[in-house]
Amino acid sequence: MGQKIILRTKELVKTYKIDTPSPVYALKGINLQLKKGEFVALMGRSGSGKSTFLHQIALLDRPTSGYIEIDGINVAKLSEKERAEFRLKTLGYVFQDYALIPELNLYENIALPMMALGQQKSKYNSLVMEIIKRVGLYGRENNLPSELSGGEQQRVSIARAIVNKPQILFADEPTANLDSEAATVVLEIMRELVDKYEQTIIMVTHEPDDKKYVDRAIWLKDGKLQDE
Amino acid sequence: MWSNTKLSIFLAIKTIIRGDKGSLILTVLIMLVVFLNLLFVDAVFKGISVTMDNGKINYQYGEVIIEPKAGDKYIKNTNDVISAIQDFYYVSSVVPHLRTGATLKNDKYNDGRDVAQFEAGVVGVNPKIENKSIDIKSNIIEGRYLKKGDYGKALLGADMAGGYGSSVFPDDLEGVRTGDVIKAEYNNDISREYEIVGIYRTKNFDTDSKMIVLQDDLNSVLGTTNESSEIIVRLFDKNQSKQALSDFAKINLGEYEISDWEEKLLFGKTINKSFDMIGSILRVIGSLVAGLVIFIIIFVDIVNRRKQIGILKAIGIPESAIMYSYIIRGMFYTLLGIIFGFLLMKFGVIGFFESHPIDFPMGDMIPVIKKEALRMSIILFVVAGLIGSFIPAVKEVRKKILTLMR
Repeated sequence: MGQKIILRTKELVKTYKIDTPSPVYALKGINLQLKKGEFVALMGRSGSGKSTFLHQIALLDRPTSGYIEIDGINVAKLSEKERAEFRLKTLGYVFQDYALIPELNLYENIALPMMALGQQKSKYNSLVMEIIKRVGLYGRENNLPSELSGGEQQRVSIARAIVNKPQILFADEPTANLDSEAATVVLEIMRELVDKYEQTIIMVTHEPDDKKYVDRAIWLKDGKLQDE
Repeated sequence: MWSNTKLSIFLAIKTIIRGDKGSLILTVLIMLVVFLNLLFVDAVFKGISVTMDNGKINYQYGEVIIEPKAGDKYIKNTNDVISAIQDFYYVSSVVPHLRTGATLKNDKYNDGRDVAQFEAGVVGVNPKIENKSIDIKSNIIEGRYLKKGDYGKALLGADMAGGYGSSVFPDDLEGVRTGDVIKAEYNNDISREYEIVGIYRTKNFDTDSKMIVLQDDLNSVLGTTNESSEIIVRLFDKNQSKQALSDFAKINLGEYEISDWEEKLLFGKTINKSFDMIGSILRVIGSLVAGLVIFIIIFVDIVNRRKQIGILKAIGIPESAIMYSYIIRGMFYTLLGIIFGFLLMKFGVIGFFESHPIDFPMGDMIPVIKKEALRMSIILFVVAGLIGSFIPAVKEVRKKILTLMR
């Protein structure tokens, strides 16, 4: 784990129904710093605000107020177009329900961010194949998502998330839909990414057992950080 | 920009090829029907126009008609005129007609009390050559055609004979059948009796209100020899009529009135213009309907893929690339609708009506697709498809990621 701060939030607030007399505060001023190469679990009960917090720092949503800095950039100032470009180049995502494109095969799903970056297949092919091997799906390149198990689909999702070598990988309950064996494989892959490649990962989970794979667990309760 | 376009095409192709085939077929089928509807309405109006034009050309005027000038009664030296024009390479046949008017009377019970009468045109023809130009023979619905030596015999148009189905005329001869004898009182006070040997129906109103007799027979009534009231010129291709007019003017036929079918169809032209206007209005309405249908189809398609749009946006795929991919899909459905709609129209619908024409009062109608109407329909359909794809694509793609992924 390095010393460089890769993510910093200050007084991050997210409110719903702002115009109503009694707005709902989902996040109540969260301050957090994350070092490069850190694997952090974001934990808490249902409704604690952990997914909402992830959505804000992953640039999938805009906070009501507060400050988010990723890799030294104040992302609040980015336009929608710049945010999309930032997500493509700097961030990676793993979703609970895999979020693969059903009409694209395994290879195409993984290569999609590289295609969006305008790279030629000749340039990204070896990288994509290497990642496919790394997630243990070599030989399945032509399979469609519907031909893969849940665990395999989640590994494809991880492969797609890391193909563009993101600064931070965001995972929203990546093992929630998997059996324990498949969940272990997914968590081991993520741990390996941190150990071997100094990948920064923030993972939302409510599985207490997942804590053994992460460097630090952050607890949220009622939209506030509890302890570490 | 180019990488976005490439990505849009890639996403569109993959989702089309690997998407649900049933949905694809249903979507294209709906587009096909909408385009077919757009083409069909127009084709029916065109078909009616063409049928009316062809009726006039085939049974009345030919492609070119030579008539005496106003004030003259007959074309003199008819045989010389025919000789002068029949050798042009585009002329397929030439026939002279003698025309006059008469009051036809049908004394149904031969007692002079219940006599039906009709002011009709009488045409004198030479049956030996007539059918090459004006084919009444194929339109005989009862009896037979005239033959050489049929003096005192006549053919009668079904609309005038009466009792042969619906007619555009308020009066008729109240049921003349083959074998019946009717009386013709000519304008020069000569009266003749004719045995009706055949009843014909061409569905051209003017022709079906005539009585046709031998030219020699009418010569004896009118006292004419080598004279005619009109010379009908048939061409291999009706589009050569202007050249024929130009050529005929150069061979000393200036003493006659020479017209082509387009000049003769002035009334028909007005009707055609009216049909064109109705066709255009219906085409615009059809295009609006098409646009709405395309909009609904693409909108439903996009709504079903809302989550995918959210995923693509989340991983950083540019909005424009996602949007264009849906527009490409929409245009793909539109183009397939056009192609299959046209093929079905050309080889299915028109093919069917060619063997089973619609029995219209003015003729057997076969829908006709005109190039101009086809081009306009395609343009309108493509524009409708473009707008119908663009609006829902933009509307959905601009939504928040979390809203889309919910």
